[in-house]
Amino acid sequence: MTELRINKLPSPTWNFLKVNEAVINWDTPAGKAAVDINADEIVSAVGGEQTDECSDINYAAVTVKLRERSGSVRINITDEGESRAAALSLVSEGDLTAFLNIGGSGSLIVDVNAKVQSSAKIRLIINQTTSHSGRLVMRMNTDVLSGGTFEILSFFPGTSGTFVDNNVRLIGNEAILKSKTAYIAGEGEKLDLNYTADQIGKRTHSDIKLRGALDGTGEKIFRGTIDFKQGSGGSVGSESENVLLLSDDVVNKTLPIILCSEEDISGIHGATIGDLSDEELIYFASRGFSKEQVLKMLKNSICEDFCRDANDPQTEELAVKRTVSKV
Amino acid sequence: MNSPNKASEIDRSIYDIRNDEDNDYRMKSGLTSDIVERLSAEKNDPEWMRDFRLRSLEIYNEIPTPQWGPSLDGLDIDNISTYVRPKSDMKGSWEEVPDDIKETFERLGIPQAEQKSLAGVGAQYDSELVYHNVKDSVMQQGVVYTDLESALRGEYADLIKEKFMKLVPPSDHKFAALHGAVWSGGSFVYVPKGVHLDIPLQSYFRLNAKGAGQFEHTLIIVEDEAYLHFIEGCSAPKYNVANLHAGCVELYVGKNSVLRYSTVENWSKNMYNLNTKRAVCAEGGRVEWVSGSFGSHTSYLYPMTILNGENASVEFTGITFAGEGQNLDTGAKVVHSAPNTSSYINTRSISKSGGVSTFRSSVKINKNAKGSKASVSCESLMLDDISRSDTIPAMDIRTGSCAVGHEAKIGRISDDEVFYLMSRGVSEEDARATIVRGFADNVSKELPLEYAVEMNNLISLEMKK
Repeated sequence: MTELRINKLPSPTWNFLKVNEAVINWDTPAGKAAVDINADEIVSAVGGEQTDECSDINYAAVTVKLRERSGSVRINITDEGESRAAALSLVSEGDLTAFLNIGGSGSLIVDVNAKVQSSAKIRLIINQTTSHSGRLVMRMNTDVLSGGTFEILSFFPGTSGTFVDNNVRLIGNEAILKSKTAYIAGEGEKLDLNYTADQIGKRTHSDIKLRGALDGTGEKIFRGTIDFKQGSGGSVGSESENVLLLSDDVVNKTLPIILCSEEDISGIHGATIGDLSDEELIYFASRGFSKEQVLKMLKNSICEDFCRDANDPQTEELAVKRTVSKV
Repeated sequence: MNSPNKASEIDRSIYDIRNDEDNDYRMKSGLTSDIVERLSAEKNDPEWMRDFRLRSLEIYNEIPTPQWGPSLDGLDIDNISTYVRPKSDMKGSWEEVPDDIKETFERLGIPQAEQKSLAGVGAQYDSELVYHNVKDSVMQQGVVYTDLESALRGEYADLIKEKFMKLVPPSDHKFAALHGAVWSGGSFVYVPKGVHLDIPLQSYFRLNAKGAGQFEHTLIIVEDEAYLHFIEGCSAPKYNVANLHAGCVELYVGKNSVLRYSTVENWSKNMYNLNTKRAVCAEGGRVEWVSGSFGSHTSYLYPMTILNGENASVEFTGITFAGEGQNLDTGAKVVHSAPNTSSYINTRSISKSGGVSTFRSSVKINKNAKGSKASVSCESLMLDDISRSDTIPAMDIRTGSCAVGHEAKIGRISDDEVFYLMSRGVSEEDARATIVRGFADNVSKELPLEYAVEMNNLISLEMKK
């Protein structure tokens, strides 16, 4: 058993809130995760393995490179019910779309390192199909160079523990981050997210959006930090979260943070957290929907939003199947 | 309260007057059990208070210095004198206060404000109150406004023992423990049931001694169906060594009562302001915090409200202006612990000339606070690219039956707005100062006129630097 400390808040706050980091006990990975890769011809996608020198943990390693034009890669990673690990490297000099499906029922660590070269793009679609009892730790680091765009769509439909540490550095001028996350956490499920956008270059742009629902004893922490570094003049950043609370036993923690060392920027953040109002329920009731039906529709709509944005039949099939089994 | 009408009339020296240290007694620097026992003996504490101080010291020694906020490396308690007694005991008439101390308060405008617009005044100089007075008409309504130490030995002794540091226990954080060990001075206010005090009470805290700490304790009890506006002001001359302010404010607000607590804080820029303020609010009660933070080298200041009764509410309105050499970490905390409670936090912060301003908040909605509503709004203005402004809000929601909203903005002064004012003959400097004063309007419009003028003048002073 290993103690993992992840999701560290870049600028800590009161200890009593218990949000400055996540400390979790983790079964030491026994080996590499099972990986399945399917790539367009133009995309170089190589599977293998690597060993972490410090921990001696064996990772399944996937290296994906796109040198020009556009292409896509589809990667399935699963823990096969054990404690496993995988490392993914993405480099794009063109327009790369990566569909990442993460499944299993054990404990899985996935490390992702991505680099978006100048004027290039990576579109990363993460679809989690891990079963309710499964656990996932994702540690992601992305550098975006001048004029590059990193677009990330994620769907986390609920597990006994999902921890995502997503750090994006907008290094070059006019680098862009677009992030949309959809989630559902139900009875006995926990989602712990830590997103950071370091805006370093001039006229960079970040947009972080989340939408989710908590039900039963579901717990969720979202830490979102936009950090305008000195010299990031002309940059714009925004983050927003919309959380629907469907039970009186949920726990929701939201920390939308802006750090700013630059005068000529514009940063905004907003959050809306709550249940369905009586007016909304009456509206639906007047159209023949019971409260249970409305709640089911709302949870399904979170999945539908993700599927619409992903615009990929295979991803949609998996996401809908997982959501239906849950809802 | 000094109230010049134009920025050009502002005289910074009113805050910077230094009187020669002609104290009656100054405790040696540092913090040991001997020092705490000596302080307790000097104060003629009852036994329970002496024991309380010593327990607090033990807690202080056990709790680590916070690692999540601005650096406190420049603060060495071994170099702070925790008790300085001025050469005057507490008087009920300004004529009896020694001339140099009286002149200091006159230049700050306190006696004048008392005559014009206050129901009672307490003035603390270093570690002790030197003046306390309350209008007869207020006393006749049963309102008690006195120094805490007199109250500790008088009619209200049992009540104070019951309430003192129960809202802010010494175990709350390191500087609450420090306060518990060395507190001195401060005020006790008791407003009986049904009494509506139309004009405010004010306490003013002045720290003159170099390398000293001020640890006043304010305890206010507002019974059911009552109203009180309490104003707190503070300032100090600047020295080249650290001074420390670790006061404590505890507010008990009864059923359907309203307590408005206004502060214009203008400590000198060598001050570590580690103040703790907390209110608990019963059913239908309301707390209104109005807070302007302009001074200090380093501040940790987050007034907290616990909404303990159904339909209780709180509104926090604050502004922080961090200039050169300042690191001001301010905000508010709210705990919703009863159904249908509501909170509104509305703040502005301004950073200039290398100043660091951090807005930090926490809104917690407990499981039993069904039907509660919370809203947080913070706006920050960056006036140059060598300053820093951070917003660190947190929301912790434990029930599905609630509505919580949060919005924040950070940005700069619009060139268009400056251009518009300049096209109407206003200089760029005045245009920027006007825009910043407008930005701070959320607080100034909540203050009595004299204090709003002082606050606007403090902004003008900072803008001219």
